Amino acid sequence: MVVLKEKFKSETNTWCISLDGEIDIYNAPELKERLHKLIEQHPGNIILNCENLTYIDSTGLGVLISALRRVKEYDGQITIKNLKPYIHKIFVITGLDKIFTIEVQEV
Amino acid sequence: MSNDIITLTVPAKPEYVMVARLTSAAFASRLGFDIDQIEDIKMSVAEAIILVLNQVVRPMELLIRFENLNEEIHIDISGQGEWVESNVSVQDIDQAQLSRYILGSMMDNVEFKTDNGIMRAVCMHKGCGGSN
Repeated sequence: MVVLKEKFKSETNTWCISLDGEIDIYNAPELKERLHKLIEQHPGNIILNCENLTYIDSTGLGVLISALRRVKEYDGQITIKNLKPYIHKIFVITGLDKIFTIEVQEV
Repeated sequence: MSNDIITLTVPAKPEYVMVARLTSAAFASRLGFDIDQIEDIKMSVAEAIILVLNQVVRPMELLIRFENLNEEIHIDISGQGEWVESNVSVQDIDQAQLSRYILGSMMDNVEFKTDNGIMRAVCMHKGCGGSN
């Protein structure tokens, strides 16, 4: 199960979103819909706080790529913060560390 | 440890991927894999299932077989029963490359069994002393 908590900061035109739990093939479609709705509501930059994200599979990565495509349409950015090292490893393996701005959680 | 085998049949639905992941973790733990290796195995099981499910056709059931062989965990995941049309998007199919990267990096060996372009099964193994 993944829990998404969002807050829009108008002064910086940025969505601050925390992703808690697991993103898998079961809940990825719902997450995709929610992220796309937020982007439609306020086309801003996105900061994803993944401090409490414990698992993400390729379908979850696909959701993030899809959101990034939308955000790039208006020259926005997605920053991923506080990734756990073993989840960061998945971004490196797939080369996605090159297309997202990533900050890894200190151990 | 003897060459024990566990077989699991689950409906080929996204909500049952977690059952396979957790079973793989429990079995790998019994075999003495460390925490990082167990994470790799869990992840690989999920990605192999995603490869079989996210296609233009998908099976009704998944047969997942875990075997302890010569200090390696061998995992075979295959679609079973009737294969039916799925409503998967082109974008989902495009993600197959991500799954392949992950599998190739996390397991010692991965074999994809395809038939007319359809992924029917994924067979893979990883040793306790593997470098991954």
